Amino acid sequence: MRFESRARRRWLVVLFYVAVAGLYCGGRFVHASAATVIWIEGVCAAFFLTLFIIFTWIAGAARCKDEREIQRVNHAHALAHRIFVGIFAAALWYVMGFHKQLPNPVIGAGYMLFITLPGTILLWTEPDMEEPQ
Amino acid sequence: MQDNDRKPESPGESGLYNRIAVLRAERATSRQQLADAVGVNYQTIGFLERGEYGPSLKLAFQIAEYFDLPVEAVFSTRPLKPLSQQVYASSQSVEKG
Repeated sequence: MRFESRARRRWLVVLFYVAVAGLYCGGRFVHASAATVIWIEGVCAAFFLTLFIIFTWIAGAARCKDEREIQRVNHAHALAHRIFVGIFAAALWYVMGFHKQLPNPVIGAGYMLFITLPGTILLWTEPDMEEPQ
Repeated sequence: MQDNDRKPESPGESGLYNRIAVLRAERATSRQQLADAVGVNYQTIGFLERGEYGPSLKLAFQIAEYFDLPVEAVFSTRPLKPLSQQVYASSQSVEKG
């Protein structure tokens, strides 16, 4: 699959979050046996581990990032940090204001966002790539 | 507007004008060749040409050295004259002098 096109990358991001949300909702509303849940979690973990290996070790080791790419990655992490601080402040306001614990799905979504947000920002904002003419 | 439609010598987001595209065309150098010579991704050369990225001082000097020109001949904070016009003007002044 080629990801030179930004539109295609944006579709991948949407598809990823829809799939994660679908899996999460499926896990909450379908009362499967414990063994089935463990199998599904295992498959998901293997899938994410494979993605991690492909995108960080193999792709990263093949070529060092240049100064523009490092700047883009740093910018994505800084932006993700700012967004996450906002989300964290809202969560804190909810907990302190209403004296309630955050619902588990919100905490789960927070973890997912914390891990994936910098990559998502990069995929979403990096312009279309060109051919080396 | 598409990113590729920008004029190659416009300052873009970086606020820096450059002649990389003109020099590359003049010397029949591909983005990949220039990128390999200065140690960056070829995409970065495209971003530089469109003025969407301002290079570090080191990269600016490396590019100027690759073209065997002073850095101010490749990069400028002010709009650059077309090379042909500049060359013609300097040859005219030499003839007069």
